[in-house]
Amino acid sequence: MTGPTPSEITQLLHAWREGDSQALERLTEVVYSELHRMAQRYMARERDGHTLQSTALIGEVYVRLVKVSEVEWHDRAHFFAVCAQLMRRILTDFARSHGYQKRGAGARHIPLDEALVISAEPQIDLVSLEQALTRLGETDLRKSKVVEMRFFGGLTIEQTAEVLQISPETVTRDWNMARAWLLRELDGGSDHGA
Amino acid sequence: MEPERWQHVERIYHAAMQCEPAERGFLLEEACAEDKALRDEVESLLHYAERPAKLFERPAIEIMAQAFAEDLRSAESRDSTRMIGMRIAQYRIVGKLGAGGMGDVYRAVRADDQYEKQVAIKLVRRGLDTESVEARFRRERQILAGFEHENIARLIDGGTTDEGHPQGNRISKQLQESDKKGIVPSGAFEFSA
Repeated sequence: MTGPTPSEITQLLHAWREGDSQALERLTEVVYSELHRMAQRYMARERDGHTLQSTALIGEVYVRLVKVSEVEWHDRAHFFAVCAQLMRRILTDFARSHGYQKRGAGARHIPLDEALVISAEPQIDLVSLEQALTRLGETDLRKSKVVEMRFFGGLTIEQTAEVLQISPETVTRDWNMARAWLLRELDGGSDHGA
Repeated sequence: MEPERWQHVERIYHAAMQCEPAERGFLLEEACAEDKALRDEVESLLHYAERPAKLFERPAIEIMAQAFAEDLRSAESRDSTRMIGMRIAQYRIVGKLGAGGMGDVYRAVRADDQYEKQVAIKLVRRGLDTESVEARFRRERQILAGFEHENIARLIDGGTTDEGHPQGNRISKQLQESDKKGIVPSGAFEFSA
C-alpha cells in the first residue's frame, strides 16, 4: 500500500482545517504509519549502535508528510501551526491507544518473589502531559502554544517565533517557564494551579 | 490563578532566573515582600526549572517512535515479551540484553525516572537448585563488593526477599561499549524468577 502524495496530504490538511473529520482519520493513518516507519529505523540504528538524530528524523517526517516548498498555504507559519496542532492530537491519541499512560497512584508493583507482570508503566506519559498543557492554556494561551509548536511540532525557537509573531527571546522565556510549570504539574502539583 | 497574578509570578520568575542562585533569596524577599504564597509559587517553579528532566529533550514524535520501537522489539522475542515492562523493586525492565547459563539478562531503568542510570537484571530460571544458586550469589556478592574500579560492576543494591532468604540481590551498572575496556560485568541483579 503506497501512502498519499504530498499534494494529497496538503489537501487532507486543508480539509481537516475546514472541519472534515474523515480527513483527520486519513491523516491519523498517515502519521501512525510514519511512526511505525520511524520506530523501525530507530531499532535498526540502535542495533548498529548509532545514536538517534532527532532533528534529522523530525525533518524527514515533515518532508515525507508535505514538501514544504510546494505547499499552497496562506504562509509557512500557518502551515507549521496546523501541523503542530495535528501532531499534538494524533500523538496523544497514539499514546492513549497504545497504553503509554501512567496508572494512578493506586497501582501496585510486584514483590521480588513473584513472577507475574502486574504493571508496565511508560517512561513518559504524553496523555497526562497534553492534559496539563490544556490546563496551562486556560491561563496562558501563548505559553501553551509555544509548547505545542516546540514539543509536538518539533519547531525551532526561530520557527516558533515566526508562527506566533513574537520575539525569539519571548519564545525562550515562555518555553523555559512552561516546562517548569508542566513538570510540576506532572509531579502532582495540583495544589498550585495556574 | 488570575491573569494579573500569573503575570506577576512570571516577572519575578524570570528576574530570579536571570540572577545568580545565591542572590535569588534577596530578590525574592524584595519582590514578594509579605506574600508568602507568591514566594512559594515562584520558588517551586524555580525548583522545577533547575531539575534535570528528560521529558522535553526530544520532540513528542520521537518519544512515541521510541516507545513504539520498544514494543516492536519485545514482540520480536516472544520469550521476553512477558518480562518487558515488569516492575521489580524500584526498577522496570525495558529490554533484553542476552541469555546466560543461569538465566536471561535484561536492561532496566528506574521506574521513577529520577535517574538516567540503566541497570542489568539477571533473572534466574525457575527450577534451578536453590542452595547452589544462593551459594553462588554470596560468593559473587563478596567478589563484587571488593571492586572499586570505575569500569567494574559495582554493588549498588542488595536485599533479601520477605522470607529472609539471602537472594544475593545486587545490581551492576550497565556499561557502555566504549567504557567497557574488555571487562564484562559478571554480577547482576539476581533473584529467583
